[in-house]
This record gives sequence, C-alpha cells and structure tokens, in this order.
Amino acid sequence: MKRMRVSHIIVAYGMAVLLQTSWLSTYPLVGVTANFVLCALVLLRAVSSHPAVYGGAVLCGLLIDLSLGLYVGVSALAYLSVCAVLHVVSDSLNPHNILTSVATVLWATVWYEVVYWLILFLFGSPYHGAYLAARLPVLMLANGVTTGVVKGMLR
Amino acid sequence: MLSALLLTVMLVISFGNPGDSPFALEVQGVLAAVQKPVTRMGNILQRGTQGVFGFRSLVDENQALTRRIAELEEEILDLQLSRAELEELKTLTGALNYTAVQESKFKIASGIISMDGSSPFNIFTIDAGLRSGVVKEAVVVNELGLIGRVSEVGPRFGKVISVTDTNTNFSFRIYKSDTEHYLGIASGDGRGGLTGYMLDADARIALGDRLVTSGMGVYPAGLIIGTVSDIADNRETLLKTIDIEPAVDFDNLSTVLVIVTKDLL
Repeated sequence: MKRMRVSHIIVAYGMAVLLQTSWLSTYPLVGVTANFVLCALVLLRAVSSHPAVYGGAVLCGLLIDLSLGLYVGVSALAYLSVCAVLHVVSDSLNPHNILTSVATVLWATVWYEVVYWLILFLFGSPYHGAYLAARLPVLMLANGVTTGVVKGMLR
Repeated sequence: MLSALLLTVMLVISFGNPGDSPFALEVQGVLAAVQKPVTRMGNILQRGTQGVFGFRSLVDENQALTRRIAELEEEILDLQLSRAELEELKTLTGALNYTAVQESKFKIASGIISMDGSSPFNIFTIDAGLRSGVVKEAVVVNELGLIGRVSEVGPRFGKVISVTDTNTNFSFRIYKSDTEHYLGIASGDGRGGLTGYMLDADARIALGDRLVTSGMGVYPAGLIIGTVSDIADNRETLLKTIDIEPAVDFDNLSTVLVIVTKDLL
C-alpha cells in the first residue's frame, strides 16, 4: 500500500466537499448528486490506511452538517460508522481493482444511508423509510459511477 | 469511540436546540465564501455550454415564459383573494389596524450558492444575508411558488429550509370559487412532499385543486404551495387527509425571492 501525504488527503476531501455542496448539487440528476465525500473515503482508503483518511471524512461530515444539515453530527456519525467497517474489511480487498472499489462504495452507500436514516428516526425526524428506499438505488448508481470513473482516471 | 461519543453529544445538543450556534454561523460564513465563486463559475460555464449548442435562446425564452405564467397565475390568485376577502377586510381594517400584505413586505432576489444533493433534505444557502436585508424566518419563494423560510442568517448568506423538510404545521386555503374556499393544515411528509388535512369535514375538494397559503402564521397569503395529489378520509378524526404535490421543483432551484414582511423587522 502506498504512503500518502496528509496534504493530498486534505485536497481530495476539500474538492469532494466543494463538489458535493456547490454548483454541481444545484443541478442534480433525478433528484440526487453523488456523495463525493463517501466516494473519496472509499478511494482514499484503498490506497492509504492513514488515520487522516478517516478523520477527514468525519470532519467533512461535520462541515456539511454545520452548513447544510438539519442537525449537527448526523452525517459525521454516519461517515464514522462507514470508517469503522472500512477499517475492518479494507485490508482484505484488492486496492487496484475498479470493480472492488465500485462494490465497496455500493455497500458503503447503503450502510451510510441506513445509519443516517436510523439516527434521524431515533431522534424523531420526519425522514421516511420509504423515501430512503426510493432514493437509495439512484444514490448507489451515482456513487458507483463516480467512484468507477475517478478510479479509472487515477490508474 | 471518543469521536463517536463527542459526535453523539453534539447531535443530542443539536436536536434539543435546532438553532445554529455562533460557531456554526462562522463556519457557514467561511464555507459560503468559498462555495459562492465555485457555484458562480459553474453557472457561467453551464450557460456558456448551453449557448454553444444553440439552446441558450430557447432556455431564455422558456424562462421568460415560465416567469410570465407565474406572474399571471399570481394575478389570478390575487384577484381571487381580493374578491373573496375584500369586504371582510374592509370591515376589519379599522378595528384591527390591518395592513394589506402587499404593502407590508419587500423582496430580495438571491442566487443559491450551496446545497447538498446527496442529502434527503432540501436545505440550501443563498447569497443574501443580513447586509441585503434578509432576516430569520423570512419567506422564500420562486416563480413556481413557496419554497420555505430562512432558518439562519449571517452577514452575507442565509440558510433556507424547505416546507417539505419540517414537522412544522402551516395553514393553507383551497379556492373552489369566489365564495367557496376551504382551510386546511399541512406539513412535510418526510418523503420530499407535503401532507395535510382539511379543517372542514365536508370540504368539496378534488385531485388537482391548487393550495395557497392562507395568511395565518408565518407565510403571507396567496403563495402557491402545490396541488392535491391524493385524498383520503380519516376514520378517526372524520376529516379529509390529503397528499400535496409541491409546485416548486426542488431539483432545479437556481434563484429565489426572499420576502421580508414588516412584522419580521
């Protein structure tokens, strides 16, 4: 596994947050845009096990919560849960295979969205499970395509 | 474990006190300053690309026609409101010191600078804040109808939360004719839409009926909310419950209008 500079991780997450919250998100396809931070987390974890990879994702979640969230900490906790699972399984995955990265981001999307919904559900938010189910396939598609394209470009 | 604990504590505090802290406002201010030029550049790039492919004139024409339709619809609603309520308001003017809504508000046009498209909520930041005259709880609309309200405001930005994202109830009115109109209560349904119920158990409503704000509560009267997409009878309350299709397309928001009523100043 390559060693990655922390500055590269910061730049990658910075770009992911900007893409996720700026211009691109005001023109979503079929109502959603990709979760670029989640894609960045999966792609970065494939090439580095530096703690900044996990810390960066949680920090991005916190920033998104602070600027555009209904409550502070929901996204951050959801990213943290994905980090925990990734930490356990990533070493057994092939970091160079595009399909492995795409498959990883697909289950990570499901995991993230379910945790996100669960937190809101526990606190009594109106976010409905049926709405999550309706959005999930499109989000998986968007995240899968984004991860596949970026991974392909980086090879 | 420690970070999970810290985040959970933050979450609990946030749920208990939904208003943003001064620290959160500072973070939002910094993010908005970075996001604004990125969004602007993206918009310019997008419009330029459309021009290259010859669609620009069509897009402009389409936007102009959409605006005109919205203006005409607003005029029709204004007339309906005026006719139905003119006499009533005339009698109340003296007694209640009533000021017509149209005279008691000013509007600020604003662009959207950030939005999280991967989130299930329609929460976004606009590039107008306290310095432009935007205040907390100001009403946000576009040419299609009601979007929501300003939940937080900084010097140069405002955070907008849509009507579909909250449990907060607001009242609406359905106009069937000049003399026949019904009141109801609506709120977000947690699925990106709205749900509500009619206050009159005998309300003669039908699919496709248009809802407008009643003027009671946060929103001024006459703003288009959406149309009735489903009607059901609630056996417990004996009232009609309805599903509402919002008039606004939340997936295609670029510019909005902030309405600041005098009572917010």
